[in-house]
Amino acid sequence: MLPRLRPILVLLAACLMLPLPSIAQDIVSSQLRQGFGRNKVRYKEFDWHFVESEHLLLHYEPEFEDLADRAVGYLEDAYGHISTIMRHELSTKPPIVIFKSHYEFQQNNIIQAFLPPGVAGFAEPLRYRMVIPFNGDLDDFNNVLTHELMHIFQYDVVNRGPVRRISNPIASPPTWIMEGMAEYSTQEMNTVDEMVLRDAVLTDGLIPLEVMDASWHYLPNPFLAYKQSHSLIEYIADNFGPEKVSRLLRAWDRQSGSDRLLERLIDMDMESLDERWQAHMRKKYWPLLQTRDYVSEFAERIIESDDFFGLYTSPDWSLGGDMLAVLSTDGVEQHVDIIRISSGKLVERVSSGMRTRQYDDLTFNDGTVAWGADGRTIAFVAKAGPADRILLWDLYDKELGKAFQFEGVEVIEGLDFDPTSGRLAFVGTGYGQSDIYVVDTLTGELQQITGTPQRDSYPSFSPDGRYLAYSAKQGHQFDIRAYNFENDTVSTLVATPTDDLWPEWLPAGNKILFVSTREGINDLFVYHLEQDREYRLTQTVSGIMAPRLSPDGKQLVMSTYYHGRRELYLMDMPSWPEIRRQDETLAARSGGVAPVPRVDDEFEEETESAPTEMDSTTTPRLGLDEAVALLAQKARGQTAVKLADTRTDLNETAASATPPTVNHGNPAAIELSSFFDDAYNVDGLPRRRYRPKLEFDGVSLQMGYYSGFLSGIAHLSMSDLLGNHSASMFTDYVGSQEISNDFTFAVSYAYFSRRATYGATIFNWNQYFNDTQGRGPIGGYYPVGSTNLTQGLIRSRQSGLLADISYPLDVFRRMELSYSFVDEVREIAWPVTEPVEAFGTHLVKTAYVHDSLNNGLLGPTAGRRYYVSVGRAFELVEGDRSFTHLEADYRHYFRLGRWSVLGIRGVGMGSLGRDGLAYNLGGPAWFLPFYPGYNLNLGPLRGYSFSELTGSRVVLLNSEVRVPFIRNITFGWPGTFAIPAVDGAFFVDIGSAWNKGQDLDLWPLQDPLVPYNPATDEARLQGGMGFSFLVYFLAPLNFEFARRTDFREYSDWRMHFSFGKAF
Amino acid sequence: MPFVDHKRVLSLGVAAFVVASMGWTGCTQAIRRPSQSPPWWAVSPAVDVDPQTETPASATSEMAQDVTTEVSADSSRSDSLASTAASASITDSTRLPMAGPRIYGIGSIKRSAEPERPTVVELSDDERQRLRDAYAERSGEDRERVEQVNAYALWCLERDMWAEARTHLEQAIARDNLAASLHNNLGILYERLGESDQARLSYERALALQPGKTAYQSNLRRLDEAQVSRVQEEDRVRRRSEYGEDEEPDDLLRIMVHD
Repeated sequence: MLPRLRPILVLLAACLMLPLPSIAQDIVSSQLRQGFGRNKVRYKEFDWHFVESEHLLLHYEPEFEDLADRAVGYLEDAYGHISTIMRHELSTKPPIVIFKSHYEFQQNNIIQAFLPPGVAGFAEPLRYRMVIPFNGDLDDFNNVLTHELMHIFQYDVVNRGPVRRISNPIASPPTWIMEGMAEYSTQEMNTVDEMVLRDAVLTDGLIPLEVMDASWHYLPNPFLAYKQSHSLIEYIADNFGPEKVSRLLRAWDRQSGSDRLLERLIDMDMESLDERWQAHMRKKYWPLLQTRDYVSEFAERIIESDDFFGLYTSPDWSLGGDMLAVLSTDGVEQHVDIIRISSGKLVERVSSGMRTRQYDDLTFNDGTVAWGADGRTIAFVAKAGPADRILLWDLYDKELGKAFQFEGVEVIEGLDFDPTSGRLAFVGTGYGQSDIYVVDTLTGELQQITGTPQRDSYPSFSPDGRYLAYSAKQGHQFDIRAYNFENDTVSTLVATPTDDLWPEWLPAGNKILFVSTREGINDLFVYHLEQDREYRLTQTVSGIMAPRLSPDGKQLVMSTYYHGRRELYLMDMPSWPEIRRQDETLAARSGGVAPVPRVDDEFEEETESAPTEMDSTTTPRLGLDEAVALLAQKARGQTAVKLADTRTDLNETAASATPPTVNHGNPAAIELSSFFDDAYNVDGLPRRRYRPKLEFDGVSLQMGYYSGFLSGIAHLSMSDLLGNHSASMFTDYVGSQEISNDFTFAVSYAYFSRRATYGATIFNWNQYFNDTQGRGPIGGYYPVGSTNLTQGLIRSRQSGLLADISYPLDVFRRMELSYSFVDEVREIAWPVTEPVEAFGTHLVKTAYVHDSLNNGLLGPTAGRRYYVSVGRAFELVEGDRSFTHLEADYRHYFRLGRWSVLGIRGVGMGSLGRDGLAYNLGGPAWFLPFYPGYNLNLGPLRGYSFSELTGSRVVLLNSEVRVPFIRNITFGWPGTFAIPAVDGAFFVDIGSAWNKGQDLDLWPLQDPLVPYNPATDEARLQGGMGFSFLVYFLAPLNFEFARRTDFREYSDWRMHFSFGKAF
Repeated sequence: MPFVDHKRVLSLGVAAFVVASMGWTGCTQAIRRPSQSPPWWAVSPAVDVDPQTETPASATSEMAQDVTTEVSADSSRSDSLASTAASASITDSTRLPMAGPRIYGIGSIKRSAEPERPTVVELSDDERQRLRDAYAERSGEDRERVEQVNAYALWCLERDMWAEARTHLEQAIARDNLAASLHNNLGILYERLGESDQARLSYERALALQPGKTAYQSNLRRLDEAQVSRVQEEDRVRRRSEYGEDEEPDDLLRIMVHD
């Protein structure tokens, strides 16, 4: 639905569901209201097909049909698995939509809201739609598919079929049960999951079950909540029987609270379950402390900060080893920073001022920052438009240089510079698979290194630039391999039954530092290529991630998880003799026997030597021609190979001296090993092109009676399965003693399949007022039911057409164009039928909108937003309204420290011409639901009555300093509930509204102690100042206390209460 | 017409709004982007002078051949992002070697288990002429790069990041050792780190490239005077250990120079 139309329809629906006095709604003024908000840009026109299997319908694009086939296999396997757990068969085939990357997933129309990077997929209960992106790892993909399919089973059990209703509450068990079951249905926890859970147990950081049950959505560490929920469900299954898992939902359906549910099911309440489960976890993890080390015992924490929301990741070393380039966030903004290693202090903010100009958002993954071997180039990854780009920043010039974006490569991570040249290796995800590429940053030439359907990660150049080590997934685990640039061969270096990750070459070139998940915990190992054996370097409690060696190989920086957050540590890299001693020491500690070295037992000094030719088993390879031929004839689902290398376009966004080229002659490491030996047979399944077909999303029916009026309301919402076409209809039949056969309706349609979105609405809208001869507050009338009835009942009928086009220039900027035709008739409906006035409005309006805000719960926290709006009502026939609308609104939010913010806003508006509209000023910005229509209040002028000032010209300046008081406080009585945020604010507002013919006197401000009559007095600016408390409890609640002032005199305090975020 | 009046007023308002928004943007940039110029106290009025104006020097064709051989080995080691892109304008035959067993022109460091005090050989007129020609052939980009490295080194020193500054200066000299200011500034760094022999060699190289430069002469003279008294040297080391990296950038920074 178009941004412009949606508020109208929502407002109309809200009005319909409220008592009659509040239904006043002026369509023209609603169209003139300009909205903000970031854009959901549909960069691509998708070509959807679907395949129907035994239990589901899967929608995909032919360009990643291999991935779709695998998804069908995964889902059918998952269906059998979940069906066994739940002892349930789905009542209908769920429609599933898969995208080949997260960035395309963000363009889906099933959910109109912007989906942040942390969303791995979703399932919705209305129509059982599941929408899942591929993140580059087939195992992760499988897990997400299984997780979301479990949610569909849960919906089916609880709601007994698709909900298809939009007003009645949807039955929803506690989130910890829903998510815990979904996680339980996937495979066992991986080492990162275990790392997070283990840390919480060992640092006393577990979330109490009662808190998870009551305030899931405000938990500061949702990832831990997922893992705890998983573990809790696993505990219930292990100790009370797996059948209890399915009974959780069935029993809940008949109970109302989690305590009663658990008592009925396992004969204990939440507190008892939590105690027993925590005891179980302590018994599991505490023994590790006897044989394992905290990272802080052998490494030094780099960032000495206790800020929970602070996070530093993806570090890489400067040439001299004094600094690190890192990705950082303070919970509000994300940046690429250079920090001093010795102090952890910020040295330089690389990405300062780049957001919205150079990119949409930084890509916050591992290895998305790399420091070049020249010491002056820092590469980082950011999303710009539909895909990631690599940006090169020059440390000497302190400015951006080249930028690279590659067609088909949507997500980029794992950057690593060649120490001997300008080559940059990275992991690129596109075409439904994730591979390693190398780009020459000087020429722009791109070379694809791997081409497997499974994930390849963490590329690392050897010191002489001849080899590229990386982690390659074979089956379901990562091994370490090395690609030889000279002869295009791939050798397997480290292959164990566990994951071997993050290879880093030591400077001598004959050893590789890497992380392995032996014993289920990530630890550091060193692999000696010449000796063909490995040495354990650490045995940690918390685990180690993403180690990065300094250029001289004497230190390494790494991440670990401690006290509920990821932290950077600095460790001295042991010398070769020390590595061997450490290996023996750790082996002895574990009670094992130290492996006997194959070569001399001397602790020889390290010498500079060229890397030896690796003679491990070479993976079978194909040349490009053979691989392409194979692709052409391969049987579907048998050979999971995709040659992303066959594409030809490279889009280098920055000017380059040499035109970029793509190396077509090196399709190395294309593997044909069977990844799916027992894959579901998708041959013969029906496949068809997707045809949009409107179906009901939901229906709402409501009857109401108020003050002699009987109202019957219906709300219908329809869309096609992919959400490209959306239709809504509202109807309201009103009857009373005085009025009969009055039919109100609004029908809208919106089209979202392309970058520009289109919408149209036709409507016939009747509203009733007490006739007060223009003295009432709502368009000159009083609402029905008030005691001010003087002449009778006035009916306002508005009918017409709205048409909107919105074109997003990018995520932050858009152009809007709308045409509105409204024919309005006002008549006395009772006691006699008598026309009062009739007029038409042909309004054309255009607007330019920019919004790059960071939003918090209570209001903006950083950034800016503004719009310029111009409208013109044309007099096409006599009686039509004629006016010109001009409006500009600029807001800038400056951060003051970590959480405080100074907000500045300036608004200027004029409704000029013969029929200029009257705008309002005074009171809080939002006063819904009491004055929804016929009232164009432009914003807060606190200290004044709501809409106290009226005029066709308005200026307003607001400034407000907001300071955080409370973050995430949970109350245990009455009941368990959370208040996630409480802020305090100090504000100053200055503004005025005046009419044509009046002159505005800017100074001094109006004396607050002198009565002001805007109709007769000279127009003056009005001032107000005060303080407020902003509380988020289910919604933002504002308690504002203000006095009028001209900064010399002050009036008495006036209190305002309103809903909604601060301006 | 009132409408016209208001249109004019609103136009002015829109213009003011645009100017204001641009002003904000500009202010934001100005505040956030640190100056790339060194502070006034760190800039010496003396800069490297084009050798064309200095005393003539000479170089033999045999030397040129030797240097070419040496540099090709060196360049393979120091190849990097920027060097690959911009090295074309510096002919290998005019580079001065920084390491190796043979003595070229302005001296070399002998690598051995017991490092000897390096020696500096005065350039002949022909050698100096050759350097002068080579320096004159350098592109503006090369000169700018030297200036960038010096500025970056100073930026590092202002933040007490000595290893970073040293690495970048050494890397820059490995690529282009005709810039006297690089040698001088590296000498300052060595001196600050207590590596007197290296500092002396760097000062002498700077002086060999620009004999008349008073800043280089005074640096070398100061170093010699400092080395006269062992007691003074020990005292300096002691003071350095006391203040450590928290010590404010000292007077040495005042004499860093820029191309």
